[in-house]
Amino acid sequence: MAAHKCKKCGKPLTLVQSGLPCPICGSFDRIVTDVDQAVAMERAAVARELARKHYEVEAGLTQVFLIADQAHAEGVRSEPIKLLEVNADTVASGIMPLHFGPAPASGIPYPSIIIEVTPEEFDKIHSNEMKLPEGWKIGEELPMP
Amino acid sequence: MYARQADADFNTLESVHEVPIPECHKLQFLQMACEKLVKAHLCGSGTDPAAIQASHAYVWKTLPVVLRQQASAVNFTGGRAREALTHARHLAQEIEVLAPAVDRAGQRPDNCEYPWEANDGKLRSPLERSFQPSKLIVLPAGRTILKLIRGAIDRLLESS
Repeated sequence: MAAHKCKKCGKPLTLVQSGLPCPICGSFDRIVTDVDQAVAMERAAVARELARKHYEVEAGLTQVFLIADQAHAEGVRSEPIKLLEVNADTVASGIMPLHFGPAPASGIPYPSIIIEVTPEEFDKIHSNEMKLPEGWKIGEELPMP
Repeated sequence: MYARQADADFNTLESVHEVPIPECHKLQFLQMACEKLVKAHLCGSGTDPAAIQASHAYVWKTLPVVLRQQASAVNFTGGRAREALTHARHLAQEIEVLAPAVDRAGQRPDNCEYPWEANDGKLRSPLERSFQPSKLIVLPAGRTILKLIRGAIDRLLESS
């Protein structure tokens, strides 16, 4: 995964943190050194926007996480943004990744993959009773706005 | 391929909408269109098509996610979207049990294809049954859901 730094204080930032005020100094200025990092930052912003839209219309949605894919870098433009969504209103029936094409007109220029699980299923993923697809790991949480 | 089949099923549903044929026949096309729509999205993420072909039990869990994504894609947001998508969860559950193979461990033998034995021991036919989805899709939120289904199928066709 690409690394980002706060331009003002130099703190290394995660993908999600890179789109929020720096937790140390509050600055929004970032050091972006190459195209891959720029893409990774843009993808993180799109992931937050996607999560925001989902939180807005889903009463039962309690948590949304990025899924980190060990086989693919975040700086790859064609790689889908993967989200794991914990929804109290869904039905427990296992891991079902759903693929969606990009929707540039509504601010989603990347494809995405959504996995929706119940809170109980989420606990099972944490305890390894249920497994995400090979190479996928629960990443950063995209908090409710 | 699933997207094209979903499109064909939904087109048929639309073309028979005003035709005086039994409700169960119309709903069968709705059930088939929704099932293929969600299977197209599952296949797109790498799921083996052979692994999902035989089962009909995907709609309840996945159709609401597909419709929510479609709502995001067309910037359908706010209270009306929230209401429609809440309604979609209930509708998806009812659409899934229209398939005869999905009977919730015998609790929901009603389906839109074959006769079944009801709890009172009597035989029932889909031809004389008034199904929940027929009532749900005529509500304002139900009509919105049909538009989202149509839009989701169109978007799949455009990207394939």
